Amino acid sequence: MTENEAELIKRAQAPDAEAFCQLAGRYGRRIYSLALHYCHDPQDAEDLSQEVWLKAYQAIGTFRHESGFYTWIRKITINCFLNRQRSSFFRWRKLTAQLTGDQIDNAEPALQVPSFEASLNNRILVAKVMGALAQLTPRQRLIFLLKHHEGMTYEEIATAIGCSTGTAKKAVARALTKLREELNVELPPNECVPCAAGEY
Amino acid sequence: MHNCRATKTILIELAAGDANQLPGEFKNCAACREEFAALKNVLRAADTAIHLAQPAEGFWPGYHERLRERLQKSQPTSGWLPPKFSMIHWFRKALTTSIRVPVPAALALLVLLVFSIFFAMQTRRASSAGSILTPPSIITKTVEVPVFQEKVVTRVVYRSIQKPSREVTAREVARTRDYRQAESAVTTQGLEGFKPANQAKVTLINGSYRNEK
Repeated sequence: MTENEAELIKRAQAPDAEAFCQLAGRYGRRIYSLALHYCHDPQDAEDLSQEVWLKAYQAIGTFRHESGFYTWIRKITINCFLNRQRSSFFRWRKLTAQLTGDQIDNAEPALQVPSFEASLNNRILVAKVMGALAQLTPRQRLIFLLKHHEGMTYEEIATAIGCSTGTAKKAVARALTKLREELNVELPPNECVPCAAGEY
Repeated sequence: MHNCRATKTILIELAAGDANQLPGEFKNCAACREEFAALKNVLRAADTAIHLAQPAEGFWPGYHERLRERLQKSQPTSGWLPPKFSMIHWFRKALTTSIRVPVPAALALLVLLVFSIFFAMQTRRASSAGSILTPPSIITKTVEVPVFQEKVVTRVVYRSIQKPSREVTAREVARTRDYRQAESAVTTQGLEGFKPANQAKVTLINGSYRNEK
């Protein structure tokens, strides 16, 4: 935690909304991205991420500098996601590979657009990945995102979600299988047999 | 013997982890190498998609403006408290803290709890039954009660006076005269100055009467 960030946190605890907005500006993109891949809808992602920041602002007095500010925010984010999952509040929109280009444009108007061809390929890739993630349960999707988006270890995920390490590993494995099916990555032809290559 | 099917889950874990290269066991298997590479490609594509799905730069000013508006309307619920004084936080933490317990240990604890409750109830029931069976304790107290042993006995004494018959002899007459004189002397003199005693001494002999106590 930088000294400037500590100062901002102290001011936010005063409470100072402007200081808190500066903190939100630092980590807002990561939280929004996580929310976007979790709920697959830009509007829901914005609502969800802003709800995270509002809850964090209301609870900023309880932040005791025992962990990093982003770790604290991420914990609030996970709790928000899980609560939202329980209440089934957000609208679930599957952005599958069957979406046309227009539909993709409507669904995600803010995507980065480097060029037309690259953009089309990228959008198809994004749609396929989101379609694969859409086939997972919200919990499995969250575990996969925490692993690959946030780079958390299985132990950290298990602690944050409240599950076992094995469950976290299974969720990631299931997400990988779904992604592999959706992205149409062929299995190796000689996959099937007990081969003699690795006899030890 | 190396089995590609059996090691598939290990490969997924390896690919999902931070490993970029396979361990020695898998390096010699072409199928495992291909599988690992495919999984890594999938993850790379997913990471690319996640990165690409980020909104454009033009999205963020509006987002932060909307967030600022919502934050201005909302205020922290309890204001700022120094951490050392936030008792509510400690209380909440104490209430919500959970520990992980292995299932066998949890079951053992549960069984122990049930048995302890059962034995406690049994002990309580036995003690209550025992308290009913035991005789009540006798407390001996000496209480002084005033006993009046004085008795007032009123006795009526009947005296029979025999009159002399006509066929009495002279001696008898003489005797009768003496007797009368004596009697008159007694009646006139004997009762004069007689005062009933204040105290009468009665001696009761136990067993002289049937119902005497």
